[in-house]
Amino acid sequence: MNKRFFIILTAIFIAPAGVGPKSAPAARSDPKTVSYSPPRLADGRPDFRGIWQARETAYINIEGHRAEAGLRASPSIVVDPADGRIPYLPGALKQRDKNYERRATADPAINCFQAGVPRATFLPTPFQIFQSVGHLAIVYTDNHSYRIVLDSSIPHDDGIDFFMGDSRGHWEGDTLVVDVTDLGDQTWLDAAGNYHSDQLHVVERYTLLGPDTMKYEATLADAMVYARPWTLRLLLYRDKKPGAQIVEDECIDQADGVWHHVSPFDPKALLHHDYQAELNREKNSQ
Amino acid sequence: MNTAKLATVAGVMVWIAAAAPAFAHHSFAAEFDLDKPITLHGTAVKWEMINPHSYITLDVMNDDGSVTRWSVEMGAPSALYRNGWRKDSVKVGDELTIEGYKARDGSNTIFGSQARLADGTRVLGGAPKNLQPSTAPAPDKPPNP
Amino acid sequence: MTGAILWMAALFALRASTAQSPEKSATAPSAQSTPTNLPRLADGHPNLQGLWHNESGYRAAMKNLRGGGGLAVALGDFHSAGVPLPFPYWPITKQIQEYRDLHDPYHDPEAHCHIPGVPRETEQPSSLFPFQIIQDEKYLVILYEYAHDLRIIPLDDSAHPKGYWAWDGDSRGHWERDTLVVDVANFNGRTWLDMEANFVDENEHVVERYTMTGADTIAYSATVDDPTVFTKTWTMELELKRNPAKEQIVYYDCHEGERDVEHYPKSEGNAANPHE
Repeated sequence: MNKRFFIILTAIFIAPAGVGPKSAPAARSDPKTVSYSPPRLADGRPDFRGIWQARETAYINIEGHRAEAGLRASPSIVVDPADGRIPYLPGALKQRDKNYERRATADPAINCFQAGVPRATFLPTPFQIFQSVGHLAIVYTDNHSYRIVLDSSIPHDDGIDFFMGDSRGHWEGDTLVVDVTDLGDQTWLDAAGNYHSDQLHVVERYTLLGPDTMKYEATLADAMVYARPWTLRLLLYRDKKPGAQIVEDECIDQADGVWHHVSPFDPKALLHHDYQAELNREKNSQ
Repeated sequence: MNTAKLATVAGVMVWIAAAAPAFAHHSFAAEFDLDKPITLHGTAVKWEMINPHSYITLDVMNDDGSVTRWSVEMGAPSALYRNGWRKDSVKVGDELTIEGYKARDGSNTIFGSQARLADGTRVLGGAPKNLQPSTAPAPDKPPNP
Repeated sequence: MTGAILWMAALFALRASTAQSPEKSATAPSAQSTPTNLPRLADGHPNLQGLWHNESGYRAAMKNLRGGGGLAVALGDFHSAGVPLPFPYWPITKQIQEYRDLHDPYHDPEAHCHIPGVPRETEQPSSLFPFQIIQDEKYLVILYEYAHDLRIIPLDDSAHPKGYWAWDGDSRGHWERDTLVVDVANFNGRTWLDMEANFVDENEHVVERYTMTGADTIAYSATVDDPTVFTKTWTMELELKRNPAKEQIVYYDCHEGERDVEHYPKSEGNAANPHE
């Protein structure tokens, strides 16, 4: 009886709603990449809980960008291919360049669409990982998005698209591997027009390197857009400020159809009421 | 499509209940009229499995041979998915029969409460708790609160 | 002394078994559910984790108001033209509610995929929109299917922030024996209570209570105080029921931009944000 069979059997009987079977032993971490042994939950899995954030500016352009208003130049976070360029098919590259030209209006994020995967991981706002035995979810500040990472023994939902995709997780040593499908085609990968089709398949790998540092890798495959799968990598840092929390991020649609984020710290977010005036106004506008 | 034509293709069609309307966010009765049930038979022009409401655009041939384009509003993808709908449930050109309720504003819009699709292999979705596919004639007045 | 040791051993065994299997009763299935049989986390608190829905339906019974299982209609969660729910409005706020219910249903913030607010997101139609709870000793997070709403509830009964106004407000929780008590404040005045234009404003203050009454049921109540909208405090009570183990959240993205708003009848006054 091999380990995978045991894992599936256990998973079936314990009706998992989260990542990892509860009784399977945690494998040793891969010594080739990581020597850090993190604190663990009761099931032996590494404790990823906390608020995390990328420090770099890959959200502007995964392939790197020049110095611009207030921001240093930044290199590509694409690690494979080695030249740091996303291996687009020729026609797709043209589309990406068109997206880039129109990015000020065509970026779905401008309409407050959710960021998708992997873009949500390296936004300039933090996310929080919630984890318990049998449960794992990632909650993003941006557009109050969340992803529930279910055990990989549960098949993906099929024939439906989600902005944040459909996530299934398993462990390889101390690395959390998340398989993401059903991402649709409504999201970009960054603000520079890098994009995908609804055939996108992402495999993420989260590995703790130290108490406050995590390595994040994502391999993207999409035969409609890329000539071959490619991988990006960046580091995530724990937010240790006392009282740090994920705040609410919501968008308001204005009468002209433009959406804009509203900060809960902005006094304009607070709607004061003068009920008689409101009633008069609503009656007059009929 | 008249009833006779419908009967001949009925053998390969399956009823799928559209989700109970995802009306958590706006009032059904303000937009649709429970007093005006309607059944449309037509050809699918467009299928949008989108949020917060999905839409089928349907070309319906009238008795005089003219064609009227109808818009069928249904629930959100999450609700439809639980009833068996998928991205590929409707293709352009599919012959569909859809039961629903007419919009109050007189436009060619209905809320679709259940649909008979062209693909006979679809599994019948379970009816959601509060909406049973109607086998009885539609009520002639709204239920009492 | 021996009795105490035996009792502690039994408690330990109970916690160990329930910590591993939050989705089913730790004890024999035929045992009557009592508070001592609740699934519990290692910290001893009831384990509320899992997928839940409002079993009481959309129009819930409310203490101090007309009671009895709500005003369910045959088609479930529709607005029913007729009998309004008797919230204790001031005369002017009652006029606002009646006017909007009749003329401006699309001003409902949920019609624009906005965050529903508290307690509306809990009373969502049970057949459609469940919510997932993940919990440890520091946080309880509720992930609602409807419009991917979410609430992070720190369990340290810490203070609400100042200068913060949100659709879902700010939540701070603590345990009172086996009841999770959540204090919610800092609302931004932009939410409704339901599709019938019942509403609250920025002075809303909610105290929620989640009491697990069995492995698969939670008695939920929300006491709402909003002195500028209502003349008195009122309480809503619902039963929450666990979804079958194989069910999951199916993400409800809701907002996809303008594609739905264009379908709202223009005559209904579908101004995108009527209050700006």
